[in-house]
Amino acid sequence: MLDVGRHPMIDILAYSELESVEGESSSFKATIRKKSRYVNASICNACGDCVAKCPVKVKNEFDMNFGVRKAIYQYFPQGIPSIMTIDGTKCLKITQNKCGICSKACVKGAIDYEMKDETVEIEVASIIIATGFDMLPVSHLTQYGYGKIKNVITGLEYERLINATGPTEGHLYRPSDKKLAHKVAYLQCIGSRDQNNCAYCSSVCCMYSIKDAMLAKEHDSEAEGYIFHTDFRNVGKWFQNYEKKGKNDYDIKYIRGRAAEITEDADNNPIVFYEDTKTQEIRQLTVDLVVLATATIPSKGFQELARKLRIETGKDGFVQTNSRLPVSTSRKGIFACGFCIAPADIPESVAQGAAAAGLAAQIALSRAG
Amino acid sequence: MQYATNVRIIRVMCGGRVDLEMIFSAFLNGADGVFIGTCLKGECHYTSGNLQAEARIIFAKHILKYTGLTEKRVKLSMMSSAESGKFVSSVSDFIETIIAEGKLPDDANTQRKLHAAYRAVMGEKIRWLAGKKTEFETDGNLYGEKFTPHEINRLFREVAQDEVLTQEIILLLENSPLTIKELAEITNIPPRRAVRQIANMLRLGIVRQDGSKDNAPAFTAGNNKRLIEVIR
Amino acid sequence: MEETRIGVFVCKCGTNIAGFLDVSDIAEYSSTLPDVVFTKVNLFTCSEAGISEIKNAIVQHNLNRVVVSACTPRTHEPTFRAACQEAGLNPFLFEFVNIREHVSWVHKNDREKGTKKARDLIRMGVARAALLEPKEFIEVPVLNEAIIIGGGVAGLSSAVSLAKRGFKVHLVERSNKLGGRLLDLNIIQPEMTSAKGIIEDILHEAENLPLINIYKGYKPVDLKGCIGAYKMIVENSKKETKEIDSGVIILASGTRMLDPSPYYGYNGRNIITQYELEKLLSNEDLEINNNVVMIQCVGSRNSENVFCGKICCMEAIKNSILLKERDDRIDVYIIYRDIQALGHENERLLRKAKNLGVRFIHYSAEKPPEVTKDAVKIYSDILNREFNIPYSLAVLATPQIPHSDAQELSRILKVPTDENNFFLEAHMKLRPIDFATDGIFICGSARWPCTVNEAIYQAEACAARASIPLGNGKVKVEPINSLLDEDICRGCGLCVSLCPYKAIELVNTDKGKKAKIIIAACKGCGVCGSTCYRHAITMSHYKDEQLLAQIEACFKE
Ligand SMILES: Cc1cc2nc3c(=O)[nH]c(=O)nc-3n(C[C@H](O)[C@H](O)[C@H](O)COP(=O)(O)OP(=O)(O)OC[C@H]3O[C@@H](n4cnc5c(N)ncnc54)[C@H](O)[C@@H]3O)c2cc1C
Ligand code: SF4
Ligand code: SF4
Ligand code: SF4
Ligand code: SF4
Ligand code: SF4
Repeated sequence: MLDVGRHPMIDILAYSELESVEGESSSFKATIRKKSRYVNASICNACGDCVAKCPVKVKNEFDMNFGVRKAIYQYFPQGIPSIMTIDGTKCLKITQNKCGICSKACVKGAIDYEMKDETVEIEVASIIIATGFDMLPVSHLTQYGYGKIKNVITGLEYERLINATGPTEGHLYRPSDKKLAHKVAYLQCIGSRDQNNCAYCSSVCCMYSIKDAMLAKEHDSEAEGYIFHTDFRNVGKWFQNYEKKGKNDYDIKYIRGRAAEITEDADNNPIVFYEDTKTQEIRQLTVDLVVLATATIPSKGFQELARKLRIETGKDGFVQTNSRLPVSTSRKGIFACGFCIAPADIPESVAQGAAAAGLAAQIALSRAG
Repeated sequence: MQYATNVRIIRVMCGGRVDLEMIFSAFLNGADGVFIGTCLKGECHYTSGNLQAEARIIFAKHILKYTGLTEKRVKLSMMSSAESGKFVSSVSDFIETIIAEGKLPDDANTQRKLHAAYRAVMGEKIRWLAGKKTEFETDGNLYGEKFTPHEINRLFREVAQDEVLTQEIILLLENSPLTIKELAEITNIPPRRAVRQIANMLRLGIVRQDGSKDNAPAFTAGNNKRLIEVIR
Repeated sequence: MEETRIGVFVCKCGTNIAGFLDVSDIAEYSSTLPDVVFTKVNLFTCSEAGISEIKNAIVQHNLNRVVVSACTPRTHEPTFRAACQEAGLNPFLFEFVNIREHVSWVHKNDREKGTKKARDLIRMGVARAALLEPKEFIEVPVLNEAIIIGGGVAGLSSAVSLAKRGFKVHLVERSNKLGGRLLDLNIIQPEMTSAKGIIEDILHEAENLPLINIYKGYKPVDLKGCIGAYKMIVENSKKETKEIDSGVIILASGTRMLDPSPYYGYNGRNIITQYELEKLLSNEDLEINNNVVMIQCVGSRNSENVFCGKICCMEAIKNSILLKERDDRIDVYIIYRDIQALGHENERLLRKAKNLGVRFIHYSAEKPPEVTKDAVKIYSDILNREFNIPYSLAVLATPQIPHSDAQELSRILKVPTDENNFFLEAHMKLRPIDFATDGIFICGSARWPCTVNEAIYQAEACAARASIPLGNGKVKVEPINSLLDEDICRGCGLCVSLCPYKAIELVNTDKGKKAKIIIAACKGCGVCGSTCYRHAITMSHYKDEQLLAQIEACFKE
């Protein structure tokens, strides 16, 4: 990321959205709206003096709402470009013309409450889509109790909790009572491979659940992990070794079966009901925390973007690519890579990224002569 | 994210750059502990430099133990560049350990042993073996025998002890001729061990007999040009 | 010798540093250090004003070393190096001391000790700076031609891509025909298109590109050189050799099929592999009467081949669909451990097979099926019952495995393989198609079993990565590399075997065997220098004496 940030040939338009694209391959004209940050990007160096003084606290979406941030904030600490942004919907100065403290706190004078959105038009030879994914919201799958039972969280929320730089510094404090969760159930295929939700396999969850359970064990030797899976899909490079390691060295229990329902006991401990495939009996397991491997879907607003770009999407809403050149879309000069084509893990996405970059550069270079 | 102010950081390209010489030079200069941070296993930015650092640390630990200091004074910790929390907790633990151990003793005995240790790690044998560790573990030695981590550890311990003792004896004998009994007393080893060591060293020509004291043969340092040459 | 004149710049970073440390004390102390002739406190050293202060001081005070004590080198080292250069000072005579991330930010509550730590770090930095040496970036010319090993779908795709960009390609294919595995396959899932169609399209493109030179029947036997200037010897079965020069190499040598004969009474007649079924199915008038039983994970996911064949489940599903579509009366059973139908298209095919009436029976590794003369006996742990399924054709899903000569190829190209003998990329997640050695890339099933789609985008990715040095015609190497003292080296080869980038080779000289550093390949990790038992190697810009000076200065208040 840092390399991208300081590369002289890369111009980053962060906090911006594509409005429209005209023209054709080798001479597209893209209209982009740069949303106002209310902070002058060429002055701010993310020292954080303003953040320290801002009185408004809001939930931190980067930390999956576990922590809090201020109305003036940096989306995450290693973010590029390294500058502050004022959340115009929360800032007291912008919403109510009060406060204004951060403008005084900033000795460099980077704050500008009057700043407006700006529209820029750029000419490009080719376009790459790499919009990734979002997670399927799962509160409507009432059997899992997400949103009702406090100690049922999603895989993405878990990632923030277990992350050493996250809101709990890597300790698995469960939401209900902030106590350390030892016994954790990981439920696979939540909304995935499910005709009524996402008919497809999200591809990355089996592997990341093993990783999650291993991480828990590394943080806490008393951790117990239970992974409830259907087909256990670990086909990538060395994934089988990883699966074995999880079982043998980390003592993770792999249980074949879809969990049917989750309830909770008086102490907010989730109870997982599942069918023991060996005996066909319905059994139950009481745990401290449940992690749902929720389905991955094309990212929010992607269908609209696809319309603006006039590219085809397939049945499940992912980019339709061409089988001869798997990173090219239905429109010449527009390429795609990563999760927006289909669920993909990091190495797959990286390789596709390089492929798309090569093809896109080819058009740009032949235009330049 | 805060931690105690006791560490001084030196930047190197990779953990694999940290030479045993640097570690013992730090102790000789007065460091109470040495901490080495590397990438995680399998994620080394330079592919495998962290494994080389790890091999050297095994030696460093055995040597420290042998010199009567604790092996806790050197620590290698693997972490990713995103794990600032791990860095802080690992360094903080280390600082606590070192504070509990106290300052490095600066009596002549410890200093001589550290000096011997410094010479030992500058010498060929320890460096050679540290470099061979990964090969011994995966492909085996010259005869195709693979080493388990346990066997490596034992081998490294024995070599570390032997090399430091050799250097310590040379240091002592460079000052004045001594008998085996005197050597055993000063270096705090059993007399039988001293006999064996001196016999070996005689055979290699790094010590020679030089008169006698109290009817016992006394020894002095031999012509150690080659040994000293590499030490600068 | 020129007098050492060091300038020290202490940054306040607004309040980020000045808020927690006594910056003026630090600056004052710095001015007392040996060789320091100029000291300056900046509000923001990285700002326009700060930069010009550095440049002016270099000129006015005739500085020949610059130390900036500010933040992390990760963000601003290039900025300050450039400033030095613009003022006529070699950029490698610049030293960065981090008193923000390493001091002010992490010791916010102890101004006094924090300030002392900053003083110590600057003293160490100054000691190192005094010993720095000017360095120039090293440029290595790159021949704009590529060698591609393997003429399967992966190798051909990257050949076409590179040739279209105007680079000459030497495609080395061991067999006598191009096309690889796809020549033997029938229909390709998930698109369900003809394998021959795909490969013929690409072959057609390749044959019409005059920049592609094809060496059929040849394989590599020797390789010399490094990125920019490789020299490869290839040989055919008559032991005739050719020499090819290139700037980069792409490895796309594919796989072979596991020998099925030890498994389930394989006989090649009514107990065959999926691979053989492909051939049968491409025959229009193949007669199959009643039951076909497919057994998954044959010879894979066991103790000897730990890995999953990755494509065999989808292959079975694909073939079961083809069978059902051909004749609905055929009963098809797939006996599996886990069905690997990842992604959106595969899951749809799985559902289609189920809808067509293909039956799936799960087994666990502990209780594998038994194949008798006329039936497959299988215990389903999900249904908790045993089945005895008569078959007219039993089909074994055996995995693709690395070529038997993978080790040899690995030795010739000096690239590593993993424990399964698949080729090993530089980084499992972030550099999937690069080898650690610059200039060699890997794609297709030689890296890991993959689908045609994956083979093609990996090939495109290799072509993209390779295009960078080919297009630039040169590579620029940071002059942080190893330096050998040939007189001290004994040619033991320890450093050669440990260098992660194969940047050292042994050469015969008149003084006997000696190590030789390939500067273009060296990344400056320092492993060789810190390992050499003879102390024959040190690192430029991280020399022993520079680092030792820092250590010494640490304790010399
Ligand atoms: C039975 C079966 C069914 C499959 N079905 C499907 C499917 O339905 N859908 C799908 O997407 N994928 C399928 N695949 C996978 C697909 O075949 C592979 O992804 C693809 O062929 C990989 O291409 P490649 O170029 O990497 O390797 P290959 O096609 O194996 O080509 C490698 C080439 O390199 C040559 N070579 C090897 N060693 C050397 C050397 N030392 N020097 C020079 N040349 C050398 C070989 O002769 C060969 O021509 C199937 C695979 C199998 C085995
Ligand atoms: S105006 Fe007030 S609330 Fe808004 S960002 Fe500044 S300090 Fe925060
Ligand atoms: S150089 Fe670094 S420490 Fe100084 S102002 Fe810039 S960011 Fe802050
Ligand atoms: S792809 Fe399917 S049949 Fe092949 S090894 Fe993996 S699980 Fe077994
Ligand atoms: S390890 Fe040292 S002595 Fe051995 S070959 Fe390398 S440089 Fe020469
Ligand atoms: S410094 Fe590292 S990359 Fe360079 S030759 Fe030595 S071991 Fe190889």
